[in-house]
Amino acid sequence: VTTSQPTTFLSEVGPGDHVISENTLAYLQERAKGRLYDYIIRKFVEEEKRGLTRAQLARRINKSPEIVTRLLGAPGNWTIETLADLLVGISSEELKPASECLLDRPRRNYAGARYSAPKIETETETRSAVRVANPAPVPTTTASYIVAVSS
Amino acid sequence: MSIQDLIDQRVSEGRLFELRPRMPDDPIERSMYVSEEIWRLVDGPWADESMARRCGRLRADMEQFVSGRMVGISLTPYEAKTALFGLLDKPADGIFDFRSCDPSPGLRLFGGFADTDAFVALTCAPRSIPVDFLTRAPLKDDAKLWAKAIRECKAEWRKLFHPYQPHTGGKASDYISADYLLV
Repeated sequence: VTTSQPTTFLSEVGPGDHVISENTLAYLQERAKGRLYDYIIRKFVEEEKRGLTRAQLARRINKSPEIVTRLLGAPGNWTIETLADLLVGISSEELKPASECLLDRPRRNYAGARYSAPKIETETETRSAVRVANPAPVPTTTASYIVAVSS
Repeated sequence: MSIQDLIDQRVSEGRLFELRPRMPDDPIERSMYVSEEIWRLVDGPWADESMARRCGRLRADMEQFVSGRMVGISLTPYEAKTALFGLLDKPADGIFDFRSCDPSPGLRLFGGFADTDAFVALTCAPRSIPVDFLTRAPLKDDAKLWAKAIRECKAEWRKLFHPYQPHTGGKASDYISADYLLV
């Protein structure tokens, strides 16, 4: 018996008193982790170019090199404490929360990756599509859930 | 016919599906194509809330690659640790497991790169414990089960892309052009 049907993603997370599905909540939880991972690892790669090594980072945050390697591989077991440790150890920064609304974002300007047949997305083609009355230009950067400030 | 043409053909036949981000403004920087088996996991419907939750997490992990965000990659079999992509034995075969480790049960998608930044995921197996919504047994640390999973993936690849083999290379950038961390 099917008990959990896919729903239109953005209509589901929109305002109202309806329940947001477990699938969407889990998706957004993992997406948040992925964005944080992206944010931290970009910082690490930047500092690595300036000479920071994994061993140095491990010493700075008082963890074994093996643990640091695991932490840098994926955000699976990260906690707020892990984030704080990594950020100060990598770039002497601290976390500063920020967020943005999921709704009313412009549709992507879908040029297609190399292996995709060029195609314009339409309302009927994607479950996640929403009507945008006056589409704004596609942003050049995506906002992070967390931004950092230099200490 | 190029492998790109073959992919387009398989998509038009309904044998492959292109994974696109659910968020309409997320960029598509890399390509991921999946078999019907995997598409059903990420697109639903789901048998119960437990499956819906796990598959929601899996989809977000896959979109991390598609949207061009940072991903961990390992080119050393048996040493992938927590990397999202792990090259499997033998490296010359170009078969990877895409590793959705968290939360338990961990899932492994088997596939290969059609080219740099273009991953094709073909089969799925649970890592350590049985999963109701997957027919395959957990891989655990059983070398025979891993070898079987790799063989099944290669067989699926041949069905779809003969005579093309998975893309191979000696460097991480042969597989992912930018924004990766070699684990």
